[in-house]
Amino acid sequence: MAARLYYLLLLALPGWFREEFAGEMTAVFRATWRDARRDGLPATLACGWHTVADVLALAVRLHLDAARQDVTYAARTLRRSPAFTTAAIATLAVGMGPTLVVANLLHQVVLQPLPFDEADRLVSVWNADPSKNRHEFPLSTPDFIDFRDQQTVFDALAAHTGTSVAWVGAGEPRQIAGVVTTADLFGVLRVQPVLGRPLVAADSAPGAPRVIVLGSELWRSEFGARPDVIGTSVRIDGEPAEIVGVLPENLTFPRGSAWFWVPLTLDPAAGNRGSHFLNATGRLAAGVTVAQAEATMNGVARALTELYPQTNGGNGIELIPLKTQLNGDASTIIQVLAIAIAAVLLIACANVASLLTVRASLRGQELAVRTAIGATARRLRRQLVAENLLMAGAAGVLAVAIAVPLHRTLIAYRLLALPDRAATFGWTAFAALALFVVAIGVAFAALTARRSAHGDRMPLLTASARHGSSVAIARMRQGLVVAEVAAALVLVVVAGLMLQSAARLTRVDPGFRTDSVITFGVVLPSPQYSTPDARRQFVARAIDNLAAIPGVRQVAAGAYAPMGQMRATRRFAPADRPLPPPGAEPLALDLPVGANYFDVLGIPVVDGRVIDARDTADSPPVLVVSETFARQVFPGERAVGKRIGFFTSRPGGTPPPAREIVGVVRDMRHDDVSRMPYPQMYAPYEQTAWGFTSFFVRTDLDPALVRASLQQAITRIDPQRPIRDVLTTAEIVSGSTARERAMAGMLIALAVIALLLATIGLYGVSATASASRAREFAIRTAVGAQQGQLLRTIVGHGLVTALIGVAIGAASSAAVTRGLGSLLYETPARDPVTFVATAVLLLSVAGVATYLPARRTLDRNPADVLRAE
Amino acid sequence: MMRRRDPAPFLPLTPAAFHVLLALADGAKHGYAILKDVEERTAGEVRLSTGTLYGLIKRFLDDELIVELAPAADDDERRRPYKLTALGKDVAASEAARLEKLVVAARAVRLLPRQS
Repeated sequence: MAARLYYLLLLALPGWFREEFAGEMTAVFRATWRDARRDGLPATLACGWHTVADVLALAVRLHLDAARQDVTYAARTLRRSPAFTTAAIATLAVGMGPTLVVANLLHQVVLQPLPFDEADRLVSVWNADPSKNRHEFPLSTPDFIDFRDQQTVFDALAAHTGTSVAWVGAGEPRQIAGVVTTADLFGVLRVQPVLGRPLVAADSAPGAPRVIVLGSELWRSEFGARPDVIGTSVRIDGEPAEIVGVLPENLTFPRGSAWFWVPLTLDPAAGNRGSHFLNATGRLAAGVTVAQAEATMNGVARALTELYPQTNGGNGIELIPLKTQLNGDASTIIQVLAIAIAAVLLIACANVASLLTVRASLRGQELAVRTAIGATARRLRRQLVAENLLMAGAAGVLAVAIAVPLHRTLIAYRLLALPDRAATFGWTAFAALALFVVAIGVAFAALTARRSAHGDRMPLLTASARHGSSVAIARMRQGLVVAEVAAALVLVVVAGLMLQSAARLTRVDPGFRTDSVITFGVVLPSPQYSTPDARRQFVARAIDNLAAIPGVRQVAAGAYAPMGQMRATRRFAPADRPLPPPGAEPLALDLPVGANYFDVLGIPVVDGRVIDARDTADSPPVLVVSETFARQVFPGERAVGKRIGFFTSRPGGTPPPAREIVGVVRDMRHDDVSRMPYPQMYAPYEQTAWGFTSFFVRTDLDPALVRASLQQAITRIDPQRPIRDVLTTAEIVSGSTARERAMAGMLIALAVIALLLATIGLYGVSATASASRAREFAIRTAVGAQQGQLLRTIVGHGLVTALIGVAIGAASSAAVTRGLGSLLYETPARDPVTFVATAVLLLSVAGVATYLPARRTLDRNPADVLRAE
Repeated sequence: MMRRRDPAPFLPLTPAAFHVLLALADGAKHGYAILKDVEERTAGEVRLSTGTLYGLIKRFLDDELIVELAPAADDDERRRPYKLTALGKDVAASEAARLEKLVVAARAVRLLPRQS
């Protein structure tokens, strides 16, 4: 029994050692064990313990010794062929470095659950009206209360919305973003504060003392992470609030920008079912699927529609898993990058594999010699594995050296607008790299061993290995060519589509002036600016101050800048016409603007007049609309002179006064460069006087020179009023295409690398193939074959192989680009021109890469070739 | 004539290695006999285990400090005796001399009593 266990223990030792000593060791162990048993239990136990520890220690030492020997030997072998080693390591590292970055993104953003407890149960709750193709729009306060009270599918449901306040700390006043939320949010997310307490329901009660929960960043930057901040008072928008809690680090909800959290008071009476501004997030009850929850919530929504047809017609509910919501397009972007980089990696590995087959032919002789002088097959295998592992490992180290700065750059410049989680470089990616290194090392070793061991060893020793290229090897090389061509084609097609899309996007005319205009926003909070008059006064004085800045030509106010975070839509109906059925009212973008707005932004008037100084708070209510608006609402008619009516969203309330259209202006892309203009209506700012406003400053100077004077102009009116989002319109437009351009740039870079590697690979394969057939060609030429004929055969054969690659690549591309649709602007995902051009490009590359080496081989004098053999 | 190899590179030996060489100094022995010899010589203070023993045997064979003899005709095939080579003897002797010098040095500073 003990002897059998001992024998099992010996399995820890290397095989060669066991072969030599296991029998003897077992015999000796049996004898010592017998002695120990005779000496009693303590001696037996001691002997057992000793034996186990001793054999294991020996095993470790022997394995380490062998590994060190193998590595030393492998390093020597690799050093003997520096050109091959450098080429192989560099090729692999170029493939593996970017792969590591993308693999990490894939893991952090796409595969990992969000950093919340049971995060897969979190969903975003949106209004949706599929009949009007409206999706993901916020809820109204009374609707939210009804949903919250009537739902049965969530453990908890929270309402929240973004806010932005003036923070007057140590330095200049600045505008910081926060979240106004019901206390439920902390239960929904299951987030515990690191200090103090979370918001509770009582904080939201009308008249409750004002409290604030700090995000960790604000806590650090403003309070030096002091633990005694709880209970102290801060002023937000001039109002005092008591700090009651501090939230943990890296709480990136709803996105990384939240600095603080304040309670949201839901007042059903004050609410308005037509005013949609609440975001909602819920935690699904255990066992409830998203589809079930959506169906149940839509039941509640239908009941609300019946009760409030005026406001709720058509409004259903749409649930989006929180991860999908927060990731947005990032998932698609990362997956596209993953496919692209996988193609590069595949080509890199194929190149190294093809290098190895060439080298293996030469090594075959060396290995045969070593076998002949007594090296065991196992020993040779071990050394091949060690050699290839060492090579792959060196490439892995180099890959990390490439990946870390690459990742840092990607995050630092926010090139792809990825979620905050992408900033972490997790160990999982490194573990995956290590696994890959081992896998590829072993695979390459197997490849070399197979090639070297081909046939029996004597022919290897006697015949020159060069023309021993067997059918199997030729097949494998063809396979490599097919793989390289296919992978390169996928990548070039994807890069080509993204490039076209990005080029089209940058050529889009946004419809407003993109030189010499700088814009910024200001928020005018209550109570200081609670009356429209106070706001109008502020805006008038700001315009005067801004106009007085040297170099400023013209200034205008408007509710918000194009392509920013803010956007308001409004239901309307042409007055003096039958009302559309409830829920079917058209929507338009609501853009209050002041005098000069159209001049400053260079939006041409098409008909009538624009808003100007005669439109004051007391003048008749007017409206300027966009061409799309005019065309959609009054097809074939003149819009100027028509009247537009609006709706009240409060039951029994008085609707706002109808407005007369006084002008029609050219469309502009207010949402996003890539989106077609939405119907737009412009009311005079004087007549709306919203609590947030933007200024548009046209200057004759470089806008950068004016930038510094903007805050001063505002500070002179209100020293506690920060300005935010200071951007030139050129920056706004380029910012809205930044991600597409970055994406296209990266894919082009990868495509160029892939093409280069594939060209080198193809050339290498065909050069080896040609060289190994030099003798055959010489004989055929000698017996009268035409060179041109031979050349055509070789190149034709190469092209057929490449064509198979093109076919596979085209089929794969078609599958890949289908997922690309949402990222492409006015570029069909299966654009035939791109596909055909790429196929022709790759076939040409394959043709040239086959032609050149074949030509060189055929140019040799057949007599010389035959003599050399 | 073959030059005798210098024992210096093998020194110093670990106590276990030295004991194994000592056990073989008075004639060829197989594994179990070596263990017993060491145990008796040290009055049970040093007990080698099979792992240490065969680790050393493997190394001594590689370094040509010992050689393996054919098992005696009547003996178990697995009981292979080992014998010191000339180099092995030199190494053991050099180690003993090295230890002796240390002992002399220790005596000189009276860490050990002087020999009578």
